[in-house]
Amino acid sequence: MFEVIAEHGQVLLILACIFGFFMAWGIGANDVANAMGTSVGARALTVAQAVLIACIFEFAGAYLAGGEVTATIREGIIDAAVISETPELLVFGMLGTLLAAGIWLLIASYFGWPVSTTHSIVGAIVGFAAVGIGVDVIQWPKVASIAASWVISPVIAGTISFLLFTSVKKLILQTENPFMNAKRYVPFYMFLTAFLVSMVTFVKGLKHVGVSLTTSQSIAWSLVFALMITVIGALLLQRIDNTTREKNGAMFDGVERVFAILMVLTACAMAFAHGSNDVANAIGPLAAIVSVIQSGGDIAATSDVPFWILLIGASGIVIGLAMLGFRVMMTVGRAITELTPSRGFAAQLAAAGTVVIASGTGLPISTTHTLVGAVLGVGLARGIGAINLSVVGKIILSWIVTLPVGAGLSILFFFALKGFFT
Amino acid sequence: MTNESFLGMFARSPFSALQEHMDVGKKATVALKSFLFSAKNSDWDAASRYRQEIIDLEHVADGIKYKIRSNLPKSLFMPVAREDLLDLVYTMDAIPNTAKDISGIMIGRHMEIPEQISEQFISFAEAAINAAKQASIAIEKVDEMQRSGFGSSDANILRDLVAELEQLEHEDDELEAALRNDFFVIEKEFSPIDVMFLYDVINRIGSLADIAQTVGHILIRLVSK
Repeated sequence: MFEVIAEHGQVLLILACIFGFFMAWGIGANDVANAMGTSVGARALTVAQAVLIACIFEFAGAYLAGGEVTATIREGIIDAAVISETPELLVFGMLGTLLAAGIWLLIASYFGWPVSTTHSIVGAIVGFAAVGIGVDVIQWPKVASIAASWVISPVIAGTISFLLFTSVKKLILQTENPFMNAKRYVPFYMFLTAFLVSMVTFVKGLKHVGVSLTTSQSIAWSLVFALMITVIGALLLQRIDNTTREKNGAMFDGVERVFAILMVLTACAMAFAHGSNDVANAIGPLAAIVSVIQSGGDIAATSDVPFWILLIGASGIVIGLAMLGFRVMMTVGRAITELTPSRGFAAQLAAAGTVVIASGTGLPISTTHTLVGAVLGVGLARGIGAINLSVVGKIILSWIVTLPVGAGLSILFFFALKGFFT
Repeated sequence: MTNESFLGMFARSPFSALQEHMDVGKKATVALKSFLFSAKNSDWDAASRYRQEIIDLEHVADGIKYKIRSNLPKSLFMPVAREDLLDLVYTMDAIPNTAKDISGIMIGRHMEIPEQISEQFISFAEAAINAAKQASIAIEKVDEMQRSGFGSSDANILRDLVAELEQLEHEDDELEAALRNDFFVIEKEFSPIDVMFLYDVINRIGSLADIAQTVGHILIRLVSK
């Protein structure tokens, strides 16, 4: 059966790149707008600034911290040993997965359903593998832990955001002089944000670039890096005075303008987290296909993800963002009037922290769902004027629907591709 | 492409509309004050201008009330209880309504306020209007509280404001009792029908302060969790 790969390798490779790009494009058009829209909605960033930050940090996140999730998608769900005799099935399946998830994202975006990239991809992989190859090819304990993380991640993010916003209330908003206390305590939140992101990068990311650090070295470097960011942030805070001013189309007092600076940082962390998890998710199937084809059918061959694959993913996202996500953010950003930077940062930091840690452990989770949990956490701390629970209900429903749909579509494409090429 | 993304979960908060409504109610009581002055001086041209102003404001308040109610679906998750919020809107809406009723009765009958009690009548009405003003100050605070996330220090500030409001209502009650007493002594001099309606107007003015006090109490319920 190895001849399928030898014969059609080139075509399959090109298809994989197209489908992978399509998938990344879908993420850029839909998912990134969710992650970055919070900052735009809270008026901490303009749409153009959000797009710029997304471009840089989505890529950095995917490149520096996306390795573990890519590995899970690539070889964690399917037991490679079982299908080492039929590598082309993995290729067809991963192609079907990319196509299924990409199309489902497109349909969902068209109808405005808030679906998750992660759930589509994982549902699709489990679908084609279980039906197309065999139930025992799937590493069920791994799948179970992924499914559990989908429930746990919004809860954890919600708990963190609840605690974060409660601390903001106690330390800043509820005090005699909120403005002075904002300037005093916001640098700590900045430090926390920077430390979290750099820690994951130093521990997990630098292996790819050929730098190997011990844990204590990583901690030391993260501390240094986070301190640098904090100092820069604190200097920026000095320039803010305690007057109410217009910022990106909304009136903010001094306290909220202090938080707006913090939110620029958490937006970077959010984009980084999203890149490290959701983007890696789309790159995973592509990486699996490329590695099988380039090694001539050797599934066990685990090489690092080549740089050009990341480039396909990153450029797909940027183009999707520029074509559609841009507009989504503009409309959505204008519509949110109730989210201020002091709330937005708490939600973003909690979500970004949860996602980044999940990325470090290789768990593919949904950034959007984590963010929903984080927003609810701020709401429980009485931070948000009104949250529409019917939208939250729709999100949960779409999570449940996405799994069988993703699975069904990938089964369909799997058999179509298999029939076409063999 | 529609935008029912996760960001759709941020619904329009009712708090700014609440303040908007109270502001209109306050304006209606200010207009009522001018109306009562004109009525006292039997300047019915000026009075009917103020009457029209009150009617317009009552209309605006109704619109805001409708807007708040229709934007409060059961699926909304808010930092305050939905029932309390609806109660508050219902109670607040009685302020411009009462102003309209008072001015309506008085203008329709070209009601003369007896010389002997006219000063007393005006200061009683002013006290009631001050209570309404105090309620609007309390509502303004709620907007601030929303911004600082409804903490315990907020609740204390609100309690102080409402304590003042209770004091104002109490003073107004005493003024009302004195006014009724003094009018009782001379009521035989006037037409029984006129007397009946004057008592009715006194009653309604007094209820303005009661409504303001109820607004304060609902606010405390709203904020404490």
